[in-house]
Amino acid sequence: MESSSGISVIFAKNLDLKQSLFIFPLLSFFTVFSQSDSILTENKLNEVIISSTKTNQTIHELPIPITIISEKEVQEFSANKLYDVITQQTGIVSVTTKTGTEGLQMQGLDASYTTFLIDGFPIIGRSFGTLDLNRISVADIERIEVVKGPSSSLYGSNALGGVINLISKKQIDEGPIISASLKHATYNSTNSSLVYKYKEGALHISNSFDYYKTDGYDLIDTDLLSTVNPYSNYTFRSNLKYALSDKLLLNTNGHYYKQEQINIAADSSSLLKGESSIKEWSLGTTAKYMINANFFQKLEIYKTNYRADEFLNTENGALYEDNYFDHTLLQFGMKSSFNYKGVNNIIGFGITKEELSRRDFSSNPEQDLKFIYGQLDATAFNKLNIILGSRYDNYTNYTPVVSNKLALGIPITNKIQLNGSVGTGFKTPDFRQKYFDFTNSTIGYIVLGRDVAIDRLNAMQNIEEIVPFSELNSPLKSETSLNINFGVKYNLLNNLSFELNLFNNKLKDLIEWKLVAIDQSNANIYSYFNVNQVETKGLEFNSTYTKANNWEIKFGYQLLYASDTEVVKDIKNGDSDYYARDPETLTSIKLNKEDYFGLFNRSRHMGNIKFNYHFNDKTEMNTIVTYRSKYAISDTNGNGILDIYDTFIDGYSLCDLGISHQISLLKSCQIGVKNIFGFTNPEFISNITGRLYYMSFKINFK
Amino acid sequence: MQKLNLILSVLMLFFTSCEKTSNNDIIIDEDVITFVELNASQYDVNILDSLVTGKFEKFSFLEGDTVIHDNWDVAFSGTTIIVNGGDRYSVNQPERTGNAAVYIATGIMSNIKIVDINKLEQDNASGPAIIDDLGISELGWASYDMSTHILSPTAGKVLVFRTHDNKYAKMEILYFYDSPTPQPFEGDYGGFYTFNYVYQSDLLIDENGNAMF
Repeated sequence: MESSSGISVIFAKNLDLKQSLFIFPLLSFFTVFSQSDSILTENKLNEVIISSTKTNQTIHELPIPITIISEKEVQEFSANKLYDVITQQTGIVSVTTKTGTEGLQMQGLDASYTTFLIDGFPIIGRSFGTLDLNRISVADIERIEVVKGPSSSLYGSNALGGVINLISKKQIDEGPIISASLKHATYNSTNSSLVYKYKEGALHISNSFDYYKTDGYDLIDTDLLSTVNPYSNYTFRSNLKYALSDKLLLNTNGHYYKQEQINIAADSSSLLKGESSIKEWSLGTTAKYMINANFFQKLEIYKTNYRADEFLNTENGALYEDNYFDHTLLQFGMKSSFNYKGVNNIIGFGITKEELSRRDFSSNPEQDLKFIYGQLDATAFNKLNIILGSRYDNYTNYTPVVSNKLALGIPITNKIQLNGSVGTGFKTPDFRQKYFDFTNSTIGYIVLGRDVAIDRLNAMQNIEEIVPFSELNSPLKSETSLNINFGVKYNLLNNLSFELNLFNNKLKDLIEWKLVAIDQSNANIYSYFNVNQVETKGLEFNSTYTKANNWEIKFGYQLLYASDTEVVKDIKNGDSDYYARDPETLTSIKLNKEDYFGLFNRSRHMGNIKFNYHFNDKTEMNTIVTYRSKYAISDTNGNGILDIYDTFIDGYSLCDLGISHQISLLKSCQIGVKNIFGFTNPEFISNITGRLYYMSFKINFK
Repeated sequence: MQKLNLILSVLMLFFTSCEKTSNNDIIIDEDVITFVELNASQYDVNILDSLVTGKFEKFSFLEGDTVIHDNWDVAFSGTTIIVNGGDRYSVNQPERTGNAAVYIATGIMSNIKIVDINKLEQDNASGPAIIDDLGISELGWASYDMSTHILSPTAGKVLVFRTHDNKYAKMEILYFYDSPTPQPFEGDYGGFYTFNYVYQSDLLIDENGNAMF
């Protein structure tokens, strides 16, 4: 078999580090792999990570920007959903995109560039490229790992901006544990969860159930609609682990999620009523075979499906509009991990098959992928940590993509470590960008996916060609990126640490829709093109100071410059066509470099201060202030770019306060206020509710 | 001087919007003239076919005012701008009696020194020389904001005219609403053109045969 010969090549060479670096990209073509539970374990030995005492140490040694959100941090403000906890992290913000969906921005990169995993298995179900973080329950989550910067060398497409992995809690003690929690909050929101875990020798069972219900909220009273309509959802997760022998471990993960929401909209004259629902399930099984202490192989198979349905009826009950979205992913993978002379190697391959069926698609597209990849993690000269990774993705219908990553960690003293990493990432065009066939007859426009555009346009009569149709003949290219991170970690004192990271992401061939033609009824016809090149750069700074067991203060800040490379070039060369109006004279002025603000939806400054105070060993208080400086969501002066003469959305701060009390060994309770000062911006920010009170109670049974 | 005029013009805007009967004030700054709130608001837009119908308000560069006779140069109705040259494309439009033509140039008005005669176009039976897309596809003189529903003259667009009697003029449309602030609100009346223009009554021709401002 090819794979074993690949391994034997390595062993035979009795390689030193230099040689292994050299042959590594070749090696990745031989053997086998898929993701394991933790991102960290891809970078460090399993054993090191699992032993919880060394976890922190390990994170400090990792040469890539990574944030670990602990279970304690998840619980500090009684978070239920990933949204609640992730948006409190430095440099991470949830933004509403121009398609109206909401998603996560990291290092100034769009939501569609982050991959989300639960125990290493990918979460699907993206609306216009973004994943709704209010869908993902954090009940029974032990740790959330956030990797910033491209991780395509491990996770392929969509990991161009980073990876967020939720790790479910492992039970260490023998026997059963049941824990139940109940939370009630403003807007008649209720969250209850029940977790059952059982361990007996080689058997480990974990089941969790999480139910959420809310009345929604309304920021604008003057209309008949609510900002968020009432909805309810539940998540059921199950995990079964069984060690057949010392060497063979079986692991099965499954989950089921269902959400139902009242759907109310208005057309020009009347109210429309309906429902929307989401159903999602996944099932994944791995078999891990430990050949010896330094060598294991893992086989994985995973399937997940996301289905969303919605409809609207007119007042007299006739169907006005309906919609569905059905996405399936099937993944199969094999992975080998072995340690030789302190060099930790992972090699693997896999295949995935994706299928989508939705309204406004000309067909039900499928996409097959074969991938092969590997990573090497070594310590040289007893100090220098090197991670080198490479992945080859071969999609049907696309040019194959190779993604690489190199990271170096250099400890200068035992208090200071320098980290640097360079990586490439990519994202294939999604199904919508290829197969969409959407007509909005009310406003009068048509959006055509690239693969269907030319046939549809040729079949139309009397259309005015804005972009030469010949440009539509070639398929869309993948979006690609190059990322550089450079950071310093400085542990000045045992209880005072600083972390600074400079980042730069250069993306090219970004896919945008643009006007291609106007049909005979004057409707605009749009299609997708590889147009933009953007750059996001900036710095992230984090600092923690701990005062014994009494209190702790954390500070985080991100500075961000995000710009369209072409626009910057145009303005610099003076051959630009960008004009704005002088706010006083209303006459046109030509914009210069300083007038260009950058990309939409990016704040130049973001920060947070978090304070934790222990009144005694039973009661603690947490408070956090997050800040986001001004940004703009659209071009308001018609020149196509964001400049200082556009209308901006003012910056804002949010402040949360939570108090936790341990009633007894097995009982605890929490009260708190989110958004204490009740900040809202009904016109532009729909995802920030007013002030929100909550109380929760948790009990464990043993 | 410029600044004073600005203040004046803003004040004017304010007063004119308060009292609709006394509009059409003229401010002269050397050769740049600001015309405030030409009322072309008597129009309808048919949502289904985007066709604009209504009364055209005719303007003469020579007289510097709206006119009702046939020696007009440019006329406005809603978002539509027509010239007195070529053919009309709808029966409810004024008859074309002159030789006017127009094109949209890109730049700052004061920097536009030359009329590129080859670019001049007249209206014809299929539509106006200045495309009227209601600002949606941003191919004409304005752009439309889908979220605020506000139409704004696109910055950096200058309308260069040949008048009905073969003189030249250039025009920058500044504002489309009857409200005094540069930030119109939803519900403000559209169809009120405030514009700067320069009229060149002495024809100068450069060595390439183009007219010069």
